[in-house]
Amino acid sequence: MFAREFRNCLKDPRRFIFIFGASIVYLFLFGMLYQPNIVQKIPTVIFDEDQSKLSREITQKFFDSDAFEIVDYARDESEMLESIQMKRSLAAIQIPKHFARDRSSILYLVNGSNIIVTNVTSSATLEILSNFEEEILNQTELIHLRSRILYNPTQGYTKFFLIGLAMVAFQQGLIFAIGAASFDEGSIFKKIFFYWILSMLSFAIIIFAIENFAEIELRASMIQVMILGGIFSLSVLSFGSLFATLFKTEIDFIRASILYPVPAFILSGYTFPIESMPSSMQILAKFFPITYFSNDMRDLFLIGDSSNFLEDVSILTIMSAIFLIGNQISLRIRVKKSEITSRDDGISLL
Amino acid sequence: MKRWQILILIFTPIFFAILFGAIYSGNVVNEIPTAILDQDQSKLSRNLARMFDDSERFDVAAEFSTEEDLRDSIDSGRVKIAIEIPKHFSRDIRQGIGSEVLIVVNSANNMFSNPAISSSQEITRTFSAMLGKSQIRLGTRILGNPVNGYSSFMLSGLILNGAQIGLMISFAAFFFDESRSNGRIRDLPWKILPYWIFSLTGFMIAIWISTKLFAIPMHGSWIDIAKIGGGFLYFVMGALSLFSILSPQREMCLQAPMIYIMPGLLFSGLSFPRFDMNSFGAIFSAILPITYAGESIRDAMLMGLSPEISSMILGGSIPLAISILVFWRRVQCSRENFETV
Repeated sequence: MFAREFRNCLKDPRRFIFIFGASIVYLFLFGMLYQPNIVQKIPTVIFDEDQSKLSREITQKFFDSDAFEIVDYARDESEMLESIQMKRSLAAIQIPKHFARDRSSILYLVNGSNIIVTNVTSSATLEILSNFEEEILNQTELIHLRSRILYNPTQGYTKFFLIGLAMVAFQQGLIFAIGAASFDEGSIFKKIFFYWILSMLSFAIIIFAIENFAEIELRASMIQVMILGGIFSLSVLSFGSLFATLFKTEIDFIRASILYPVPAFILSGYTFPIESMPSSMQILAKFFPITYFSNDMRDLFLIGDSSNFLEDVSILTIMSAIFLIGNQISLRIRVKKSEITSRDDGISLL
Repeated sequence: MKRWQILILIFTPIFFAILFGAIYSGNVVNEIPTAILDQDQSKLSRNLARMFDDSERFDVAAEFSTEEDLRDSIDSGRVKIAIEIPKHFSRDIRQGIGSEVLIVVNSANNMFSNPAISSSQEITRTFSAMLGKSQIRLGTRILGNPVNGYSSFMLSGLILNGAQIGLMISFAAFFFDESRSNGRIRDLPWKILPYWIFSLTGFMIAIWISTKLFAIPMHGSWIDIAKIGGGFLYFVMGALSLFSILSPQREMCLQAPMIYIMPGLLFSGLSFPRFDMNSFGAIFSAILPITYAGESIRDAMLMGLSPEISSMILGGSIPLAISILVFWRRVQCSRENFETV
């Protein structure tokens, strides 16, 4: 059984590439993209109307901060706004006239189209001002806010995003591979089993790559991760093969499956949390296997456990069973159809 | 051109606009499950706890009496944020010594941690000001996306992504099929043009839907939006043509561009900014169509900025010209072979 499937894979090496290559390529691509890890050095313009010792000290604080990169010094408000309009700067700090004397408001202005830039600059501005009050003005802070950021202390992009993106590519690779195999002769269950074995090998390689190349430490046990990966692979393979039965040719199947990964990933709540989606979208999200996988994978890596682990493994098991039964029913329908067709052909020949 | 291709070209971006518009209709991450450990249990500490509770950002789901319980609730995922008010909080503040409030954040998903930290900073500053502490006042002005919402941030980029996926599905095999059916080079523009027109139509309708159904602001002109959409789709078609003409198998015409088209959204600078990318990221991002359209369309819609589309025209023309050249060469060869036979 395995020899035949293996020969088919050798004839069509794309299938090996999908299973073993897709997620590794994504890991490499996005690992490189997110190597700087955090958003910093945001181009900023300073408009210091006061030009006092105090205002220069504040400016220096912004200059010293990693979050900002002072690229422009404006002489008037229109120059400051022009710097933002022309996108030379994304943030602006305006220190008003007589600031040292009146302690009037400092204006923090930001191009809000990228919310990540807004979050980083607003947090950093508040922090700079708090520190400034304490250090320069010798004002003891009444309430000092200390933050302890667990699991991803630098709030880095690599830990936040990379695992999920690798898993999306893994999922798409499995769907393409089983889709290609579905159009060959032979038992679909044997094919699912064959590709499931390959997928487990590929999944182990991905985990190894995440740990060793992306340097994200796996805090949970390998067994837990492999159980989750195993049941997820089975659900995706059985879903992929069932989906392929809806199409006459592989290219039609590919066309339809290209539409799948982006909506499935975003609905999974990996970035924008499911809890913040409207209830109709929360219900829709429940139909995709990746919803029960991507967040758990990140939690297993970063936290060392996932509160939904058992529930999600159970749901993925039920999904796999439903898809496998669906495959069986679809197989019977096809056999019946082909029997009717061959009987009709026989009658017409007579 | 078949009817299903027209439908895909028009409806994929519209489908993306409606689906993601609905997903992001909440717009901001609010009501984050939060636990409070108030070790002081004074009037002042309860006032601070109430300020967190009253904020839309936090949903105080539990109050704990020990640090272990608080940590357990974070570790188990029941809450994402924990606020710890220390013992003698009220006394230390009244004596002017100052006190320290601890915020513990589950930062596995940055979407929770960033707004939670910003809001906590704002709340503690406001609370200090209410206690009569003189501070440097900070005026904030967020241009383009004043509520810092997710819809304005992502939806236009996702519509672009929908439009390029629509083209991938319907146009990706075009040059492969034409070169094998010995099509004529002079017919190519008339055959390609409808793909661009239908795709642009779908894209424009999707943007219109995003402004009407999901209240994305439109400060720019619709002509600018059409320019960006047109330039972008031309670039995508040029890139897909090259993949198509060079693919050894018909299926590969669709599968190979996935490695190029799909990562585009994240490499475009729409979320992780381009100025923070390393040289690899910057180079890869420079060859992607969405890099030139993603920020441009968001800036045009949110800030009313005018776009620059010449890079997209150039980016589309080069691969399209190469594809036509390869196509011409292939058709010539096949004619010569036919004549020889």
